Amino acid sequence: MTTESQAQKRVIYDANSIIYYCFMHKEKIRGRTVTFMVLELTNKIQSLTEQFLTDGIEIETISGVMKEIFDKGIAKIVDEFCEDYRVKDLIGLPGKARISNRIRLRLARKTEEKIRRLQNKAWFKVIDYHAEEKEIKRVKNFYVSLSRTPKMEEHMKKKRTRDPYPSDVDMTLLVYSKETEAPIVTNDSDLIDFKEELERGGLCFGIIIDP
Amino acid sequence: MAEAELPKYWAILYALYRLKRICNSFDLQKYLYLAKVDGNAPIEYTFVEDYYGPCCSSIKHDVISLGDQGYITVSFENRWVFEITDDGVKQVEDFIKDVPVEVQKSFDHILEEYSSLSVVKLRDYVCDWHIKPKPREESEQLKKQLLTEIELLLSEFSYFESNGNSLFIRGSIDYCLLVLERENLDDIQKNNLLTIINGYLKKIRILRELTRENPELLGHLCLNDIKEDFELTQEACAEYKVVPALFDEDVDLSAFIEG
Repeated sequence: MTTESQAQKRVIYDANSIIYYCFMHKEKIRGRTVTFMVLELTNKIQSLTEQFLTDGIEIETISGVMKEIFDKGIAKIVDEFCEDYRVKDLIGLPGKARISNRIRLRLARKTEEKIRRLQNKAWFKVIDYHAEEKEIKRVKNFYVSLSRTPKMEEHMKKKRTRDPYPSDVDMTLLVYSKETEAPIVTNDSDLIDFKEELERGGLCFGIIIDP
Repeated sequence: MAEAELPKYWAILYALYRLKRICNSFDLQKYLYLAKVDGNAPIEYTFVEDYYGPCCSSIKHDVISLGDQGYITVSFENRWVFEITDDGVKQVEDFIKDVPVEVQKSFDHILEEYSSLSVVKLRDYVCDWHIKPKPREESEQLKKQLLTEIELLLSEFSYFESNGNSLFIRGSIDYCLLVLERENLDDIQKNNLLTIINGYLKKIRILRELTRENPELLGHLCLNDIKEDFELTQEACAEYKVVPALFDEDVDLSAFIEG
């Protein structure tokens, strides 16, 4: 059984929280050193992480999240990052120019390596977890029940999706949060747009919006 | 005869027994090839010419099988890493008495001589001595052809969904494009470099064909062998001082920017 104090001693990171935490790379460009980072997000998740560690809170995630990170997550964030005109400025490219695929790959590799090193930290744990089918179904049904609400319609329009429910990994995270009584740190709109409903409905223990 | 009693995979385990750890599959293939050809070791594997030198697909197959049997560990850290286990050591100690002393000596000499060479130098050593280079005009023709093919592949892969694998394919062939645009090597190095890049692109072309009907498949494939090949490609480019390795930590990023 988990006591309240034990439950508060850990938080669960989703894919983006982990990627943003590790997305900070120093590079030399024509002799000067520049830092590549996702300006609004990396600093915030790093400060938040430091705070958690100072407070003795452990950080964990589930194996499905790690798979998602390496399969798609890093590539998606690197591609988004490279479309930012401020990054092109940093490299010295004109706004209309495209950052080359080789530089994107280099950034992706650096991020991958940092994430692999993170896995060796004592305060970061990857849990091999698989939710029960009925629990996933419960989460899915909850999202489906919101289908015709203006809030969900707006959310689906914004995300350009036909499915009202999030990915399997996100649903597993929710179940894991409920089971372990630990909150999820996330900026994923599938979760934060419905934070109140999810918490009120007991679908997860809690959601900490990052940033 | 005592030699006939040796299991087919004996040379793989023997090389690992002596070196403890081999950090890419290219080196393992070369040690076995040299032990067979130069060291007259009784190795059954039949080698064929490939862009990274003589190779034999059965070696990879047997390595996986030795891993399954617990004689070696097989892991991937940007390239394949093979290490002998305690059970593997016991296995070698069981059959080593059947390996003639002169064979052991020549095998040990090959491992001692070549295990300190970089993967590219070892490849070039084996290829320079055992494989005939192409004439210069043929190399220039091949280079033009590769440049055109890369442009086409880049365009085709640009329509694939963004994921780790598609980013890797696009980034790695884009790096090859830069290398080909910049290289101005002498005949032998040019021939070596073009052979390596051509071999790498051959695998990418196969991947393209495999995913033609179903591009989503790319995201689900394990590309470890291709990733290891790209490490060799980068090492060759750095060794010949054309472009630094893309994943070199200390390099100035401007090396990878046009103009």
